[in-house]
Amino acid sequence: MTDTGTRARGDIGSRGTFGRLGAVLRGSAGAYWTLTGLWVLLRAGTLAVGLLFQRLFDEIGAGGGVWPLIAWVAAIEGARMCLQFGVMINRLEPHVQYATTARLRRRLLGSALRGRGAAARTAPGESLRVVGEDVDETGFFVAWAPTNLAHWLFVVAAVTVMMRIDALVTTALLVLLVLITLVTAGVHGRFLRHRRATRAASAEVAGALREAFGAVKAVQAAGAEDHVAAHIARLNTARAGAAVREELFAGVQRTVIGNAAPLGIGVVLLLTAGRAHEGTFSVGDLALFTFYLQILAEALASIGILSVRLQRVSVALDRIGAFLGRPSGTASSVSAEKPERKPEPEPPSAPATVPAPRQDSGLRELTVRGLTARHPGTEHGVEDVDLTFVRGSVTVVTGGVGAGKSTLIQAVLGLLPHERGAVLWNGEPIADPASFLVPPRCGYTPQDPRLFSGTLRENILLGLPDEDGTVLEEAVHTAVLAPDVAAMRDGVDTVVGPRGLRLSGGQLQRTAIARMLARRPELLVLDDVSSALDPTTEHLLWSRLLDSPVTVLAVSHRPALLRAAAQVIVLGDGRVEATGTWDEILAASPETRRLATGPDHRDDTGPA
Amino acid sequence: MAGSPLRQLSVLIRYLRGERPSVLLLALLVPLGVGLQLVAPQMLRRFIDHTLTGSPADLLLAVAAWYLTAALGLLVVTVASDAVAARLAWRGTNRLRADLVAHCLRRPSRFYQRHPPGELLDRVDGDVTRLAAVMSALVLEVLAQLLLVAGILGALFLLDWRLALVFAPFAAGTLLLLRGLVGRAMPFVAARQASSADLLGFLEERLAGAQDLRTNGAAAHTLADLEARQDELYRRAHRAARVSVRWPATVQSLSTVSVVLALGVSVWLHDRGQLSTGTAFACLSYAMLLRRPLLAVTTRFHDLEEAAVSVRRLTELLRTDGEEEVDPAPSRTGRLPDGPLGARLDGVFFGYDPGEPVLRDVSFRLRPGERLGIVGRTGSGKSTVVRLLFGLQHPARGTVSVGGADVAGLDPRALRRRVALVTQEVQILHATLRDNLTFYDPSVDDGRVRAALEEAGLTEWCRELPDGLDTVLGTGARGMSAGQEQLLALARVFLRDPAVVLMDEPTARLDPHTERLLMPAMERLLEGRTAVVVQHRPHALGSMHRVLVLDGGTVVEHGEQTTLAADPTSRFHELLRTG
Repeated sequence: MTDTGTRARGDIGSRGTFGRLGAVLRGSAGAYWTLTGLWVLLRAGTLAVGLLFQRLFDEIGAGGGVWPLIAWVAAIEGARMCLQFGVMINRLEPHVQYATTARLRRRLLGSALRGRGAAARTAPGESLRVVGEDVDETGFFVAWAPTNLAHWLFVVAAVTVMMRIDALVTTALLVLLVLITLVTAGVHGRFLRHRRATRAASAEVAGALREAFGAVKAVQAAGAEDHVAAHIARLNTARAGAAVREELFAGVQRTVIGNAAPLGIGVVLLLTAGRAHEGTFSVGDLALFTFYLQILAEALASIGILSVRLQRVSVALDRIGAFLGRPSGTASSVSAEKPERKPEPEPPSAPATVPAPRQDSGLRELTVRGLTARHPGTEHGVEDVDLTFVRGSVTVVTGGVGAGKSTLIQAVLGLLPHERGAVLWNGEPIADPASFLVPPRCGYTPQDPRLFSGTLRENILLGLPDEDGTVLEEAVHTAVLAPDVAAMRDGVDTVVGPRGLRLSGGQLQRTAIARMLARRPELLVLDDVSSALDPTTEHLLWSRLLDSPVTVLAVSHRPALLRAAAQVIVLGDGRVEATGTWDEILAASPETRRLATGPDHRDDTGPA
Repeated sequence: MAGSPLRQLSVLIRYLRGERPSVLLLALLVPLGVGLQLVAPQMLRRFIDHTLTGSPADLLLAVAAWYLTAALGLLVVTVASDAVAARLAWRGTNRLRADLVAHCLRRPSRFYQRHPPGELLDRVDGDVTRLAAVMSALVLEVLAQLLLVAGILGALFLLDWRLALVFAPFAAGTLLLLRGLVGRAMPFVAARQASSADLLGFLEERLAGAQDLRTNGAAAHTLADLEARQDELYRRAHRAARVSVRWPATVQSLSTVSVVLALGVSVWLHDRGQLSTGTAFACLSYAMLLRRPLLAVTTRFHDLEEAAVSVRRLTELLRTDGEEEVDPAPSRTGRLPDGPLGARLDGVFFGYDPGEPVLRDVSFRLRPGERLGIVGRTGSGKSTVVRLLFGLQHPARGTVSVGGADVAGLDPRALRRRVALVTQEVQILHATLRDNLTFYDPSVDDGRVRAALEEAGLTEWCRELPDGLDTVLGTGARGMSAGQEQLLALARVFLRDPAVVLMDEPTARLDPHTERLLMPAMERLLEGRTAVVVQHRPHALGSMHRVLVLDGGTVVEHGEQTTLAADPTSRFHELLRTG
């Protein structure tokens, strides 16, 4: 239909539903075609049963010769059972379905893990719907689709047989079937419209539920449970209306096709009633027509469902393709990948002429030159930032709210797209910082770190090999998490709950720091991590961090750290306002000091 | 048959109350449809017998016309009953959804630690939507088709009693097998669904934390983890398919037996001249017709089993009562007096886990309008005091009271109308600014919303928003700084105008500059209200009347703020010095 056909190696990003389905199936093609072949075989058996019925009713009065026919019917049907339930439904279908969904989810998650915050820019309900519902829809489709070729072949063969028996009656039946198809096609447009409305309403419900459950603490604290529930109920009512309308049109389509057999038999009776005594249309022929019409109607229904399902799966594949395509822009054509393949640095999105720095060269110096970057779609960002630091130094970024501190860190790490400027590793430009500035070169703890369901150990190691436990122990110690771990009954095997919610804010942050430290990166990047810690713990944390010969780039306001830094960068409104040691900056501008530090200064106890 | 899917599904019946007209309409339409299907083979029999006996063409035409009319009638009846059933199912399941949402929103935080939002979404919407599909199927496909099976047996009896005699054991056998096989696949289907929900929860968390995983170089590990979970899902799905297939395979085999049986018996009777060709034909038609409902029931049965599993999981979700009752129990109907309220802890002991006490013998009393600051190290139990006063936790020993009423005896919603909690964690809804403040309460007018924003010092910010109060905030929409988020949280509290304000390190995530910007609004909020403020930075407690120093869950110091700050031997003074 819409298959471009020109792309031998189609991708989910390619045009045309069939091209994309082909791409989705790569890896399960063998099972898929075996399934198709077996369905064809089953339908051939059904065709034979019809012919047996015809002979049986023609010979029923003639006596004898009928019993072998009945035996044949029994044999063919028995064979069908064995194939359908012993091989196809219980083995091949789950295989095709789950292998497909597994491949898709692998690619989607892989893409999110590589991309520049694709998941962060997608609305919360949306990305989960793509990896959940849309993938399920596609998996179901590819397991179901093999019946269709068999149905088409059956239709052709059955119509041929019927034509040879009575061309007039068969032609009339074909006209009837075409009419039925036209009616359902007409209804289909309206059905689709309502279906879209239902999906939109469903997304709203899912979004509202996710928000309500995600922000349940705020809802409960505000005592707003009833209002939120009422809001969701309103959305549910709207969806129910849309869904019932969708179901009505789906029902009309389904029923008109489903009743094709009785209607067809009625037509056969009407057309043969006048010439019943001529003997041109026997009881056996009526038996054959009755039987084939039922299977034809089933085939027609299945073919009708095909267009509906194709539409659904096409919408699902659109969204899957968009999810895969969005993160790395137009150049992305994620090739089929194996899970074993280590995620190598992605092909650079910057001009390919810039060579990537040699990966084995340890950090001597990191330079940021003329860096301008903004949060996509906003004016908020940093402009024209220059900054250099050498191995073993401590650099602290400070400044007021909205000064762009976190933005600068994210831009340096390549988590935000660069508008201008470059980041240089030992003097060589880094083509794609996002995939270069990762462990063991660089470790990063964001302001608002995410943990995952599982144990403390799993969250810190994230798959890092640690047979004797020393990596974990050292990271936990340096991150000042050891006293907390000791107080937990299960120690490092304590389950942290979804998103680490069972930990306190301070424990969560120190776990994230331990996670970073476990990878022993050369360069530590910390974005205001100590804000949830009490002064004693924080002091200990920094003294341990600075004890080892690492390079640190941190956002902080802590006077002790600012004083310890070899270099302090004061940001204001996205630009560097001052650079130097803390004493130099204070000497140059007392105003800066007021801006950058806060009420936790000894001589500044009262609120401003 | 305790685990019968039908038994499980019967829970749903109470959600159909109030849908009497739809139910009555279905009770009319469904038997009508069955009758129209049953009458068709009878007409075929007459047509064939009339043909073979050489009846006039008029008579044949009349039979044919009736046949066609019945077919058209069946079409109309089917469409109508489908639509009515869909309406019934959606309205019924919406009631269930409302129950579930109301229930979940009242669960304590422990509940949300066990169930990530992705999983709850799958339960409350995914499972229930599956139920909506199955509920209409339950009425139309299962009940109607079972009626049809009974009708077919009756019709065969009318054709020839010997036919019915042969088919009766078949029907009985089918029923026996139905009883035997029902529910066998349920544990396997449940295992598959659990695995599927687990996978979805995993994906939800990993997608949300994709950046953390990437910057920690954990992409390969995460994908390997995904692989393990998908393998597990495949294994369970395969096992579920192998077990689930037994039931349709059995029914279809029986159906084939019935067709062969019909042919054999009719041929035998016909050979002995005891059965007309038309009757033989009708008998085969009924046998074939029998195959359709059985097929429909079997394919639907698969869905029914899945739905029953869904229902069981939903009833489990609804049954999480009791372990930590945040729900207003009937006895907890205490009210708070109007006007200013005091607060009091009396010999309070508390621990999350037995053997790990968090608070030991903590007491203090706050007069209305008095402000208490609590300091102490991480893990000293500061936050727990606030959680107790907010009714999020209840003491193991001792009493916690607000306005003279024991918190344990208060309806939490009554408590939270008068007591507000501000924490460092601000949850912004992906919704408009207005809805973020009112939480969808339509009775709050824009004037009050604007007044609250003004008090929080957000008027300027609000004026710059493209759509004013209708601007959508949250993920994927308009971003806010941490300071603005915290001010929004304050605006939420201003809107409710509570008598008691609890603050749990509200500025912990903010830089000092932002913290200072927040101060005026926080001061306004504390003005004239009773307050308990937890801080790990003692400097921020300058405007408190009194200070409580906690260490290891016990009170080590308690007194006037100014007195303690001036006393060089006090713990508070020491904290001020080292901080």
